[in-house]
Amino acid sequence: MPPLGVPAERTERDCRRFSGALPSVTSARRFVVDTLAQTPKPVLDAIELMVAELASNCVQHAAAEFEVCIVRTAGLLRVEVRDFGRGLPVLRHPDAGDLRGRGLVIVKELADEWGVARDVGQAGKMVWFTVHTGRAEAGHSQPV
Amino acid sequence: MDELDGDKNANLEGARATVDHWSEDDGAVVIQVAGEIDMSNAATVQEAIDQVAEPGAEHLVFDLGQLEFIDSSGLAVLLAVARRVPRVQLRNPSPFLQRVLEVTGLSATLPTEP
Repeated sequence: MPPLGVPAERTERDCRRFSGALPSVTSARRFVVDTLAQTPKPVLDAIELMVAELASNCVQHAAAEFEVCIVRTAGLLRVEVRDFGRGLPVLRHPDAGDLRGRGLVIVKELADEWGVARDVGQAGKMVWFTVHTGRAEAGHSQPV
Repeated sequence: MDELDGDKNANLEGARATVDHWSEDDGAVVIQVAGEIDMSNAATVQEAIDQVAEPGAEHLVFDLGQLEFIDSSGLAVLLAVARRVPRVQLRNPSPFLQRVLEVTGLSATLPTEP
């Protein structure tokens, strides 16, 4: 069964693994920007930011290796960030004075859909989001 | 101008930013952050800004016209300054950054100067 939101046909999948070190956040950004160089800038800006937020969560909370996968189909981009550490991401509701806790808020607001998956009995989890590329800008999110 | 590497000792290269500052006639201190801020260099950018934003500073303007990327760890750096300086404004934020500030509820805490 194909992953949620991804048709089985005509998909291109690019994955790369990164260490749990801080500069990996930058490397993960470079990876998606290079891989999606043909994507319109407003969409790519949003994707780069969301990947930075999810990679930061991996490095900060899990300090473990993580993997970024980009799945391309006609009109839809899906990005998966998988880490091999423990703990689930938490969507916080920071008020204006809070310094932290905005990463998943940004993903929720900029993605068309997003979600968290984990294999029962396995360490780690995968956070994914999709962006519809058929239009100029990502619309409102529909958390699943 | 300070060159701010995220982590000089790592094999991987982190984000790069420069921090510049000057004073304006009305007494405001302008801090120009150029390049990119993510979690790899947020702490070093924070240190550079702290050196410029002296205790007792009343009015700071962050000029972000040359900023190519900022994530929530970079916004946290700006928020930390906004907590202790009475008046903090942004200059030349990109339309995308303005949208991010809106969806994160930070537009009022980090307002763009008129």
